[in-house]
Amino acid sequence: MADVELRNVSRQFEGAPSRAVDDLSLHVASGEFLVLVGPSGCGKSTALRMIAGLEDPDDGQISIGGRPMNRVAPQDRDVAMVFQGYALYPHMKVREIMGFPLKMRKVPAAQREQKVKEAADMLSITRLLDRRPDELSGGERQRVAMGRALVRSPKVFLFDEPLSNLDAALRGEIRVEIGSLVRKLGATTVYVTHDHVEAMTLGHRIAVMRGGKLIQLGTPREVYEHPATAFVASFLGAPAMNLTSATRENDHLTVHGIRLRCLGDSPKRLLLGIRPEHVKVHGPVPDGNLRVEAIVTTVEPLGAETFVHLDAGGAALRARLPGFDAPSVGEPIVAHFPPDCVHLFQAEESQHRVSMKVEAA
Amino acid sequence: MLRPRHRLHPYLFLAPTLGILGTFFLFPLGLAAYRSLYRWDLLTPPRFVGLAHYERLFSSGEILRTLTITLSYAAVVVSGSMFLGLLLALAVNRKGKFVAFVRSCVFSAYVVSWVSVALLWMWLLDADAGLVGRACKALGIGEAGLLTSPSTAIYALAGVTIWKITGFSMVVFLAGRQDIPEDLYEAASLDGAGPLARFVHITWPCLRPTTAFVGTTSLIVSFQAFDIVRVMTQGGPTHSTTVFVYAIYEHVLLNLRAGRASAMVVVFFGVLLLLTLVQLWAWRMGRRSR
Repeated sequence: MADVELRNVSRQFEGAPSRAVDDLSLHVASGEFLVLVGPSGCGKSTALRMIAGLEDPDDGQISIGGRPMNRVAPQDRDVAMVFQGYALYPHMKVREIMGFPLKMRKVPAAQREQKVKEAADMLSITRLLDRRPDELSGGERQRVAMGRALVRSPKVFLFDEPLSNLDAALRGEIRVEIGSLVRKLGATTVYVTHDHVEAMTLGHRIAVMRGGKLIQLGTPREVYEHPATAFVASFLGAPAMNLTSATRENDHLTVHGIRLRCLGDSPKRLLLGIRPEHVKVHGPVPDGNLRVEAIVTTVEPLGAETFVHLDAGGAALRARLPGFDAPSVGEPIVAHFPPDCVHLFQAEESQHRVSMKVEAA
Repeated sequence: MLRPRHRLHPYLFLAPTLGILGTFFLFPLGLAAYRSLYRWDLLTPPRFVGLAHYERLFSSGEILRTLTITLSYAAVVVSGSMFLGLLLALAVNRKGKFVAFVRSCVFSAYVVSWVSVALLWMWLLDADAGLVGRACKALGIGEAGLLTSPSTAIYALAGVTIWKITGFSMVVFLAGRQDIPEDLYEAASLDGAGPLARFVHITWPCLRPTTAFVGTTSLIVSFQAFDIVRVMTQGGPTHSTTVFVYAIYEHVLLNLRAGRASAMVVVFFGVLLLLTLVQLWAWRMGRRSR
């Protein structure tokens, strides 16, 4: 096990208008599970590939276990990676694929066989050992790819969107497996995904990236409850956080005709955000809650919960309610939410979080 | 199961292929087999001699000699063009204008006609005026000229053939190499494989079907060799470059022995059939071991 450190790392691809990774600094502690999350093209995979040694940074330092890694070949870094497309050698049997990293490290055949068997048992793929990749299902290939990574107990595990080629049901199942497996091994792990569920459930910490830059780094709870920017707020959580523009006049904030009292300093133009699960549509409205009159436009019952889309004086508002307990389409209702659940962000480009409280006027 | 609406329908579908095969392959082969039983000089009426031609071909050692020459030529051509083609393909598997230029240069030899290639190399191999010939002479190889010495002539022809067809092998190998997903190499390097191990464990096994294809096509080319023999050596010196097709040509058109030539055609067909069976068997074994 080892820690991974990126210091001011940048990478620009030939002919690209901007940097894929832009001045990224990140420290992954020994034994930590860090999730790199962001939309496609945000540089998360490039960052991962630089840790693996498959890309060289233009600038900055990468070190693993305190050892500088710039210009060290991938085979000499002692990291293992699970690829998005699995990258299983088509001409080998599963047994040979999983034993390959050990063979390359000159582990004797008997010991190799033993370790492959252990790893296969752990992943319950023992019965697949004599098959070839083209005889395996997507989920089985995924497991073999993981088997190849963990068979040699590397210093660092890297995952590059390992679940994106699987169907939804299998994705959920294998996500849980990866989580428990990596926890059991206690290995340093960097996991790249664009899926906020994977990010929230797997990582000790989440690093949210956008445009090659690190936007926020924190525990899933910190990032979810205190998003650093409006982008982070809308990226994590489904349905996404409700965001609407608001204007400040003196100590009042006006949002679609509703007036809120500001308790603190802030810029004039703001974005106001509220998570769908904090929006209630049933009375009675508790004292101090912010209230807004709205009309139900769409109801999406999912069984365990229902998404209700509202039109609040021209602004779209989503609410997430438990079970089937929702008003019907066209019904006028009063939506309300506690003021301490309101998130405020600057309306300017950076859209940084504004730490100011509001209350009902 | 699908059933034809009329019993004749399947045969109608087979008719064009059967027609072409029959006219240009089976009929001439049958004719050759028939003619091989006669002595015929194309001018006077044929005379029946039974299996005398075959007896003569085998007892005189002509078949064995021709087969040995053809097979050694084929062995050098196949292994040489395969090895060089693969080497070149791996060397030019990168981007850049210069590499693209080199690629086109190497391939261009494949497009040039056999006769032009033969004439060009006769000049190059000339022991007195040719660049390659003189270089070889200086190195002490084939002092009398590579094409004029019976021990080197066939290998000189093989070398020229390799020079011409390697461009094709290179392009096929290049296509095969570019078909191998890059993430296999990335996975292998993370697994600890250096450049040599990546070639042994990824490139070579993944290129197996390509290698089989290149091997088969260059084998066919080398068994069909005629033009360069005709232009460069006319089967000599002392029959040392008389490959199968040239031997047949020599019998029928230079010696006016149509019967003997026909007997050779039949034997050549038998050899090719045997070779095809061996190749098919090897291919099936390869499939089974996969």
